[in-house]
Amino acid sequence: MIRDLNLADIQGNIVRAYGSFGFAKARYFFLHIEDAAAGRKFVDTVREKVTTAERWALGGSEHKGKASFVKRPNVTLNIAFTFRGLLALDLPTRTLQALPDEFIEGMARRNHILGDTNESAPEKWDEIWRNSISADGKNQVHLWISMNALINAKGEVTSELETQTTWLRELCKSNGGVRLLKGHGPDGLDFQEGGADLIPVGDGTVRPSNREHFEYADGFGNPVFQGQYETEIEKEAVIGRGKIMPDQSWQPLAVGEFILGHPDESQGLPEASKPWEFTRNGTFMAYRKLHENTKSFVDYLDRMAEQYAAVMEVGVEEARETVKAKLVGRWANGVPLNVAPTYADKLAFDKKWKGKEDTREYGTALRDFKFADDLEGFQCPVSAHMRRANTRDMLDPRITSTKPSDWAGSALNKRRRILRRGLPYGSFEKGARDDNAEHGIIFIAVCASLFRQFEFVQQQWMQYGLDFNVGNETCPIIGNHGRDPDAGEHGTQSNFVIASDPKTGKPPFVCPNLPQFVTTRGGDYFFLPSMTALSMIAMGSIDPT
Amino acid sequence: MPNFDGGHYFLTVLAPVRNDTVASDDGVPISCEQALRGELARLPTALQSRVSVTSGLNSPFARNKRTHFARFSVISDVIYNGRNPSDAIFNAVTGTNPIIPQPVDRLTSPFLLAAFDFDVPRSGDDERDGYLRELWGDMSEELKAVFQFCTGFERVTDGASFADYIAKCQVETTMPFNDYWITPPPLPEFNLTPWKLGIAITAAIFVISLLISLCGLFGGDVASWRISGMMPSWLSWWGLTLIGLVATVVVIWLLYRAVMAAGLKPFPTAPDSDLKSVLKAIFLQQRFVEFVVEHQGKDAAALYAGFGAFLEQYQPSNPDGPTQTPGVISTPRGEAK
Repeated sequence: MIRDLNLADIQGNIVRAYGSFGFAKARYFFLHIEDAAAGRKFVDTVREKVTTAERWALGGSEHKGKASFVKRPNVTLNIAFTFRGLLALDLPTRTLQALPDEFIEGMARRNHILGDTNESAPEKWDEIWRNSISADGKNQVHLWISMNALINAKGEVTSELETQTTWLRELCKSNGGVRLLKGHGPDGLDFQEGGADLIPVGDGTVRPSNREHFEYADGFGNPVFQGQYETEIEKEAVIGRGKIMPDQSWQPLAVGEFILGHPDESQGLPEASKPWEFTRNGTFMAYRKLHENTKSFVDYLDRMAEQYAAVMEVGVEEARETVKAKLVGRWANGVPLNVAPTYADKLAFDKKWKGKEDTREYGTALRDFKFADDLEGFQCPVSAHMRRANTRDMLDPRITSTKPSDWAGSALNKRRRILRRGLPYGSFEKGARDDNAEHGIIFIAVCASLFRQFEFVQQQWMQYGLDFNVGNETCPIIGNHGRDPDAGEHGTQSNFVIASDPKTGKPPFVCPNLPQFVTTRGGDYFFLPSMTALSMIAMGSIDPT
Repeated sequence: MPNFDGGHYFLTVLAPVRNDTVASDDGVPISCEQALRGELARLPTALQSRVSVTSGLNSPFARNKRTHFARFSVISDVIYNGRNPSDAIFNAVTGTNPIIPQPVDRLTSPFLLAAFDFDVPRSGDDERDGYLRELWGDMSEELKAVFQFCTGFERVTDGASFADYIAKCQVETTMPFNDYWITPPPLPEFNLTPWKLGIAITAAIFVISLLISLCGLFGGDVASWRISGMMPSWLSWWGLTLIGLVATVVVIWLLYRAVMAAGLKPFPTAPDSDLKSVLKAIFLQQRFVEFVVEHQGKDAAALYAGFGAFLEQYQPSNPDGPTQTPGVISTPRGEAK
């Protein structure tokens, strides 16, 4: 039986990617709790402003005739806790010790699992994160508070963002036991900013884009789970975003993959601490600041494009776009290689959909594909970023069977999904490309088990290649491409192979010795409690017995 | 015999550890189990993990060119799983008193588990003994250092007596692990159809005769129901029921025997799955990636000349030619000879 989710008890950023609801700007605050009682008082005040997952009255046909919808806020607010934050709030030992190991350890101590070595090593992270892991513990990150703000047609952010920021700063001052932490980058601010690229439409207005700094459209495969959408919307939303059943149909994922206290895809309850009310309707979150080396990326792409053009006997522009698409699995505008495998196909696809890019049908067309017809990766390379992040049906061990009853769908993928909830950060000015400029992605992954979902994808699929038969090659985009510093001469640098259908008579193409395109600048693991749990924390009334 | 499978011998050894004490390096009395654990901790592992890769001190097993995997472990005791579970009602009926403790299973001594997977051309104890004599030649000092804490090892003086000792401690490997087939191996089909037919016929005789016999119990004149020409007059329906039952059991038992016999046949040997060939393959993969990257986009003449030089330098079909040494994770280019 599927029961309606208690949306008023679930924090809003779990169910919604605010970026796709017009919230194009964000501020991420990190705080330190110096005193447990003051910390609980602080949580109690902030609690009243938290944006829940209740459906908004947007005026669209989707929500017609339902009076219960709340008004969409201009600025959202959500709150999450590190393990050390919960410790600082004096939670009972029995509750703390039963929390998951990876959450207790925190992101920096998991760096070898996550591939955060070399340039991504914690000792090279932003100041706030280096302070957080320093032995004195005086500036440990305990709390995360996010604010996502609406923009107007001209791209100006609502003034309420500044108002709410001032409110938070004042609250810290008057509270006395909670402190905002600085050290996010060169600007000395007490928050990390995030914001979408705003593209001028031509009439003085702008539209927020989903492009990141390498100029790829991003965020298509966000999973869909039961109860996230109303039935009518769900039917189409699950295509390319849900799980694939053995009969090859798409279904929403079990709630328990993303929200604690609900059955998950193993037909069990996700592991969580005691008491039940403390974890139910909450979840875990990985926050990562991922810096993008735009100059290295563009230079390398230019170099590969020339070689690719010569080997494949195509124009340099086509070669550049093709290599760029092969690295990710999608053309720069988001069209999947499995939908439009060649440059000519891509141009035809764009032409067919010109002027209709805002339709729901177009969105579905960008997601509606499987890998069963492309197991060799002639269309989308097996090592491409998108294929690694979401393997869809690719790992079905009986996928080549001619008997449909043998098929397993996405059985080996549906326990490894994460909700992506971040935004890019830094300026999108198209000036000189600079690796040292402050820009990248605030990567936020929400899932019921950081170990089973986020860390597995990161370790086994991004930083390793065995499941894709590419040995120890890492993800061509976000993977660690450097030699393992501990391996000495035995460390290898990562390559990327673009497979070629033998029928074309062209050889496969190797992109050798990938430079480091993305480096980690900091982050941690957080618990995103339910509204019930927030009030339990605030009241100090968590009873695990 | 699953000890031999897929062209490899999977040797599992459980050697009892002495229950006495010895003097440690510091002169402190320690148990043989402690001394053995210390010895194993000092035994270098292969240079294949983050902590060992640059240590320069390779596993002694790397001196042997037939050993795929070798591992040691100390089993202190069996793990106690608690009382045998029982049903409260069953206990009440049988008068079992749950307050009285049940016996607890223990090992009489700790055991050293040794597991070696190695290449052999065929099944048989001679092949196992040949490998063990070879291993003694490669690393007798290390083997002595480890096995000296095991009961009865004092009698081992050379390769032959080491092989005898290991044979006495061998337990059957019931689940070997084959990972060298990259295509489905050519396995014989086991045709179940005649077996299913046999079971269906015998079971049908049993069920039908039983039903008829039961009719007789309730007053039916079953003695006069005969299958003309097929049932001799001395054979009753109850007799036929018994025959059907026995025949069904016999056919199922024969099927079980046939399945088990088929399961005991060794898995076929995968092509080029001996250690030398595997090392050569790993070596060639590394060199070939470099070759492809360096020759990408070159014209046919340069490619032809370059590949000729590659074949000459690395001799792909010669497993004894340039290759990777055992016990390392990779062969950096500078070390490739």
